Amino acid sequence: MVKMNHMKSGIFKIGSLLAAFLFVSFFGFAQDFAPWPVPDEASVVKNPVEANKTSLEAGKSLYTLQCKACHGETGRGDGLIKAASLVSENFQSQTDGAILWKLHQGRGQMPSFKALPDDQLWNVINYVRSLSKKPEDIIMKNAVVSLFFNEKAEQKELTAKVEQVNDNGEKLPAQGIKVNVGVQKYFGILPISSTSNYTSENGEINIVFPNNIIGDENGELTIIASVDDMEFNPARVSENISWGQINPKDYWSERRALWKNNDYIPLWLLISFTVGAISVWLVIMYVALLVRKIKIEGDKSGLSD
Amino acid sequence: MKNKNQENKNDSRRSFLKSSALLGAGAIAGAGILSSCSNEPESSGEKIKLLTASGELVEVDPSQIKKLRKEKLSELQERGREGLVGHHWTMVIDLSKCKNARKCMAACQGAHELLPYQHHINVLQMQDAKSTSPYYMPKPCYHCDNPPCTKVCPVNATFKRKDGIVLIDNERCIGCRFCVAACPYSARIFQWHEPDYTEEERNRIYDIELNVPQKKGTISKCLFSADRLRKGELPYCVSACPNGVYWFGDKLEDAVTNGTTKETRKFSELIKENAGYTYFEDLGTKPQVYYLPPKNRTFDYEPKKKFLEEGEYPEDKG
Repeated sequence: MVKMNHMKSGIFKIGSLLAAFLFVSFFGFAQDFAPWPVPDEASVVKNPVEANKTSLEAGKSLYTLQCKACHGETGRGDGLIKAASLVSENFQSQTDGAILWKLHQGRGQMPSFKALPDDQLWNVINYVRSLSKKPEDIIMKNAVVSLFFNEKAEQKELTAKVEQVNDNGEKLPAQGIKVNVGVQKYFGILPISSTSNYTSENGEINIVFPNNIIGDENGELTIIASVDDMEFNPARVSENISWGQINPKDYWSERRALWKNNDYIPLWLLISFTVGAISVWLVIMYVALLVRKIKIEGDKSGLSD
Repeated sequence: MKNKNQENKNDSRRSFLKSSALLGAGAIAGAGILSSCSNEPESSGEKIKLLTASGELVEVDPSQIKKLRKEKLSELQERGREGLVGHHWTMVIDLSKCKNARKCMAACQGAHELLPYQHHINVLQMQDAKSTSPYYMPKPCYHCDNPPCTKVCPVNATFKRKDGIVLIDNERCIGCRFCVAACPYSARIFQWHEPDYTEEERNRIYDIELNVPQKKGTISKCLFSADRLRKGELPYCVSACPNGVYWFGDKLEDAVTNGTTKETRKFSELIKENAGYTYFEDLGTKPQVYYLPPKNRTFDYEPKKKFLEEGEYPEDKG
């Protein structure tokens, strides 16, 4: 933040106020995006995918990956860059076919998603449609998730169990619930379950734990399981277990290298420098000794004053 | 004649010895004076006039003065030199996603208080050969595992921490620019001008992990946002990218997280699947920023500058 000169600050203040006003008026009253005409033959294309729970959930996970960054979590266009609102009247009034065409085309900052299969894009369209509907009428259910570890010979197996909690505190296994299982890393959770992990009729999912996950210096991992379902309140559980590989954490802090400063310089450099410095001082001392000798000799011969 | 000559020689030797003895004594005395100057003042009847932050002039006893700034500074420096032990930060840049949105550069310049022409990270237009397709390449500091820059610093101002980050300490930097010359990637910039700070801004405590406030006559460079990593957050550039270009993480943990989608993947898998590479690998610098080649791009390349066509030479362009 490089500050303006004090003299200019008054003008700057007025200018910024004006700019802020313009900004607000632009976004409050007018849609800032040029119209994006869609050919008629694209608009009439029907959406073949039914907006059921499976489609919406698949759409949500793809939306989180590809769209959320710009269009925002709730689709209001409040992401990292200025993007169109997906909940506006303007957007929702177009047909599914038109949205698909736009997803295929891309424009400006919006990339083309032609590379993704159409059924996945229909899922996203279904999800985007659901964003504008107010979910007030849905009463979220409660669930608890628990983790079980099972170590057989050579194979480590992990079971996550989801139970629905009723109003009277009763717990029943919940079927068909999406559960994400992952390992905690420094910046996020590394998934170890595949994207479509739905619980079986006894409310469980089984995952064969991969052997190549790196833990801490003792091989300990934090495993996190969370319920990711539209009808349930978020629930998660985390457990520690030493199933990981050993992390060689301080593998280089004590190692000597040329790029290191002072304490950890290579031995050859330390030795050759010390030997060099000592020999230079020895030479200097030897010369001083000779000079002294010459003086004594001179004194002896009585040639000096 | 001979005698006189010898006498003269003896004279000059004596005077040389005398003068060098004087010099030595002077040096010792000087050091003594200097060290006595740096001692903490003891309580006395004298008062010192001080200007407070709010602009009031106050008188205080010298014994009451605590050198707050220096203490905090040395604390920050110590912490900054040690680093986050047990991590080895690494970045993966997916060239197929970069659209030259330049949000990373803006976020970086904002955080490190750089001028528009100063870059810790810069997005370059690249074309490997005339017949190949051009692409955008963000270029931060590569935080090499064998850094040429730290080897040439004569005052121990630039160093590599235990978590792999190459940092610069501007309180030590003398502005010799040896490191600028040593870096094959032009990752370092020199502050030629006094930054346009107010007095208050200039007097902030120097944060080695943010390299702020910037100082005239010193070096500035990409820090992998060491201050954000300490808080467990992704670097400024990584979290500002709208196109999912950047992955950042701990190589020892074998995990990288995308700044845009917040998706976490295994670093080794990501590099293997996409044939990741490092820049100027043959120099032996062991860069810690990996590139994924620009294939299957999500954007068409829209050049700001025209690239050379096949058979065209720079002179042709005039």
